Amino acid sequence: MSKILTLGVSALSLAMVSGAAIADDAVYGKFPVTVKGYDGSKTSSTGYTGQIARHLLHDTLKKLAYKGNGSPNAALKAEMMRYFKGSKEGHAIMAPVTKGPFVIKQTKIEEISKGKNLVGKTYKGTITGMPNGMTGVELVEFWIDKASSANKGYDYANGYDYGQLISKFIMGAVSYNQAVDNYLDEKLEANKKPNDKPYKKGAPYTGKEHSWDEAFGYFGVPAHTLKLMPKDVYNIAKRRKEGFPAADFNKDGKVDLKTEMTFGPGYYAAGFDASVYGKSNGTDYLHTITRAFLDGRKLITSANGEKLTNAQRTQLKNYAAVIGTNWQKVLAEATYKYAGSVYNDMAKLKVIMDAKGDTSKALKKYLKHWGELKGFALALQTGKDNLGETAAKLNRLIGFGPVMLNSSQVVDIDSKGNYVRDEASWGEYMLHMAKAQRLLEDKFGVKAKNKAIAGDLADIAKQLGAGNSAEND
Amino acid sequence: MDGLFLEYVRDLTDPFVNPQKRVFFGYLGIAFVLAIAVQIYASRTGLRKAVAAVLSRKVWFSRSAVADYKILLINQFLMMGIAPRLITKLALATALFESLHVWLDGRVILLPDAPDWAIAALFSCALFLMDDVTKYFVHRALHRWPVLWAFHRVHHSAETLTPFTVYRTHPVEALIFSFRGILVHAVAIGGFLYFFGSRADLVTVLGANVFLFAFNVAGSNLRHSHVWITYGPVLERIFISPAQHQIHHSMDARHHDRNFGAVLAIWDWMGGSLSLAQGRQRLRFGVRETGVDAHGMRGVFLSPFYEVFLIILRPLIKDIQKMTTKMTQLIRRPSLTGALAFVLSISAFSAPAQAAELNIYSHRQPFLIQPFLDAYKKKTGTKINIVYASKGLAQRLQAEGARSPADVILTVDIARLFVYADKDLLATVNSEVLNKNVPAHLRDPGNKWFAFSKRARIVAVSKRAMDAAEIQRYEDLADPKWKGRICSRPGSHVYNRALVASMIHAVGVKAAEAWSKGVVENLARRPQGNDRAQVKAIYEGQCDIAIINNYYFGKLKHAKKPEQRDWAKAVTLIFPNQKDRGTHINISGGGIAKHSKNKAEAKKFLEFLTMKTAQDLYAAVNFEYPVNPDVPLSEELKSWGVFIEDRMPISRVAELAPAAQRVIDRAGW
Repeated sequence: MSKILTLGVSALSLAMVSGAAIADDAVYGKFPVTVKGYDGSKTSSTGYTGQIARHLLHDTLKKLAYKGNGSPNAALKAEMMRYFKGSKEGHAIMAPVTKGPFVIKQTKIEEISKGKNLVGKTYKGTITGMPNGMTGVELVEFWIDKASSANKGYDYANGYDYGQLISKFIMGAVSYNQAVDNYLDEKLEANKKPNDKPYKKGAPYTGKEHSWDEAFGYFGVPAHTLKLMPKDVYNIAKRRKEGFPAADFNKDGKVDLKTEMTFGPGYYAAGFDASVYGKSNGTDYLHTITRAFLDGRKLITSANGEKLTNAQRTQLKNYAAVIGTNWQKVLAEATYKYAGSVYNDMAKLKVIMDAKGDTSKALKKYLKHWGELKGFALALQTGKDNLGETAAKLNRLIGFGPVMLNSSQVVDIDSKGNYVRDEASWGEYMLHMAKAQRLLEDKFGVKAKNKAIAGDLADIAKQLGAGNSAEND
Repeated sequence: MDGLFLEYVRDLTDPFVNPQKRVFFGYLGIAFVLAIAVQIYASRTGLRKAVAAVLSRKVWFSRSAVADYKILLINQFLMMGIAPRLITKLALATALFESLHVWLDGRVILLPDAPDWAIAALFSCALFLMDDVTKYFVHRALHRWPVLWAFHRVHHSAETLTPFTVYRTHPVEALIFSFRGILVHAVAIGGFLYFFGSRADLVTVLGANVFLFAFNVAGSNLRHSHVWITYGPVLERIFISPAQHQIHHSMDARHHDRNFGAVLAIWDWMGGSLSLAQGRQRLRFGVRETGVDAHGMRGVFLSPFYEVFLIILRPLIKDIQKMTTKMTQLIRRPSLTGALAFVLSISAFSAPAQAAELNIYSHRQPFLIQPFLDAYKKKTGTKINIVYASKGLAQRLQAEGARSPADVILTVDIARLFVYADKDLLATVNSEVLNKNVPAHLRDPGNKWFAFSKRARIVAVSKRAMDAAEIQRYEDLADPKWKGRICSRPGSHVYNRALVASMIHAVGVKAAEAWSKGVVENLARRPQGNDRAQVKAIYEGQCDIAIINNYYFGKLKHAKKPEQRDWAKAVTLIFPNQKDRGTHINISGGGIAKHSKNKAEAKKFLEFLTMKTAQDLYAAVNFEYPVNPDVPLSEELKSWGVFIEDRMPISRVAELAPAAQRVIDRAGW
């Protein structure tokens, strides 16, 4: 039934897409130029290509993380650093690339935006969830160094999947942080990037217009997301055959990475809403966030190049709050889900170990999920709010590394960059995953709760009815 | 206020529409029909007379029944306030579910291939049985324990029984019932979810457990009635019939403390409290007169407290009388009280006016540290605050930076101590006392950390396995002849890693790796547990040989639990490599925090730890060896064997730790 429904709705959305021609109310499209006295040739004020370029730098960096051969590799490290720090030479897009019928228009990042890097936009605060008080930038550089000498991105002794760690962390430390802690926070103040002035001299967009666009760009969803079902947006990120017609909004036979692609943050929001992880979630993160972005942009455009009134800014801050809260929830949902995956992997590994079977495949999966868990848990801490005790608890529960098959766990990193390990308990770490989920539920009110470890407890408890009773026999 | 009233009304009416409750209208209806049928059959009357008899005003509006209704109304109100304050079964079930992970070291899924319906059936059966048996025991206790009977008497004071007598319950008793229900549900839910995963589901009819549904449909409401229904002598040994429960309410002394069961009679049968109905009996319900109006609300709610007060107070009065006599005797002995006063006054004045203060960050457990702090305080009057954590203290100190209040760091294992030096968190300490008392190989060449005690990593062998006593060197443990006979904690534990590091220092990486692999090949079971657990495994016959730190033997030998003393008795100790490099030792030690504001006092404290008083304490508190060569071994430690120690610079052990970890990883230890 649900399949039929999905097909029906997808068909409907496709029909709507094909029917869309020019300006469309539900598309984060070409908003007019409102800058007073603009004398350039641009007809649209919308612009977030720098953010798309950073998504591509990030995706390619992740791809490169899996290219190591198990020995220190200076060339690979330099190439990874080129994508992290930027360089004058061109940057080939290694991900996402054309996949079968899913044809992608661009092959170089410079076709989208020039001179961009990740390092300048990476969280500069201390990452308390890893040893030695590294900043966000230092942590990424540390991981790049480790990844370049790892065996296809994996460290099977200490338990790391560097591609996942780097990628999930950057989704927070760059995208989430820049959007919610910069563009949707201080840039909304009256004295910052005012709307009655161009963002910079000669620009076709005002300060507020461009700030808002940049935040939207970091979310990483197609401009026509509100015309799509979450599953479509998810399929686009996966570059699936059925995702192509959904992505190709302008029907030019190619997916334009600038406006038609789904990237990391949007992909996860869509994934939860589309219930792709195994149960009916009933969440609406993707459309809620996108709608708030669109409504905010319309509000700024409606000011027509004048300074925003206090009332307008208050309304804009309300939209920003909706975006911030829901984006944080998506990260919390992802952390929750991967805590469950790690738990399930551990349960499976224990069975294999007890039967003295081959653990290699299950171990790889376990490390992948742990990398995603850790990356998202750290990403969650790069927002504008100091999570305080919640962060401390979460970091303690997850630790600096997964508990390995020989009951060891990384507990520190020494001054030479060596991991220091100590004995750890398998059972206790599984318990930590259950507690981490409970913490995320309590503190962030996650709703989808995919891969819930003790999720059925509540359902069964409810089924048994109230335990308190004054009935006598 | 309106909301509160509505909630009250909802709570009051819920049982009538909730099939999980006994007085659900459907069950009441069935009971009504059954009652009429029995009336017609037993009294051979017509339908009209039967209905009149069942609905008799004498029953439904008797003083006793009216009291039932009042109690129901008052209790419902009280429970509105109490219920939200009770621990929820979800919280308890979660705690159990989580704790099982630690108790059983992970997750255990039983019967993974069994179909969902079978697990659901198992869960429903288990829940029903647990529910019923605990009801039996609680009910039995309510009758047998005078303090509880004081409250349960309220229920038994009913002289006419109606289905609503089920709610004639004192609030304290209601609380007991609630706790029982919560506990049983929590154990069932938490336990089943842990062992069977999400397949744990309840088989229900109309949302009620199928067993309880059947029980209620079978006329459970007639238990509290004057309608006599028996099941016959065979079935009444399995199920409690309405008549059997009426016997339970009987005033006749022969019937006292019989038929405690709720649904099943088997518990009473096994517990010797079963009474069969055996033909129509004329019963009088209620309890003997106590002078309190059994149907007045004051009597119902307050008199049980008064009774309990008397039950508790009687022996207490006797105790007080005894104590008064003793005190009088004590006061008559002036010498003793005088001494007491003197001691009190001395201790009050002996503390210095302005005591110095020290803050210690310790990886050592507080009970191991406290005797040293007490001794130091006694000597100097310095007040010491301690922050204890098994993990993360170095990171904490690092994060605190110059603001850190820490003065002294105390830790066990050289690698953990080394972390502080590696992170540049320790101050250089120039102390002649420390240099003299701590041998050079047991302190940092840069004077940032010092050892205060030594522990030997030794081999414990089973007294039953005489051949194992021939082991002389660590190297011998890799001999294939010990295959399946060695137990060990995980290789990555700092104690084992330090041992491997010492092997690397002695014989090189290759030989150390071959040795580690040999040991792993010889393991009797997957590395698990701590050093104590290895001795236990020897005692239980799982293996014959284990690598342990010496003090664990002492702890077991002098343990409070007799079974642990038996574990120690099962082994003899071998101090390896006595003919060559000596037995590997590790240390406990410490240093002064780089940003300490009390460095002079901190230095004094470190020096104190290397002096005789403290050095003796290490042996006395935790069976560790003194580092100070001038301090002799305790008699106890001497009795285990005097040994030559491996005198490699202990700092090398820390330097070789990363290499040792790689060896351990490759060996799969």
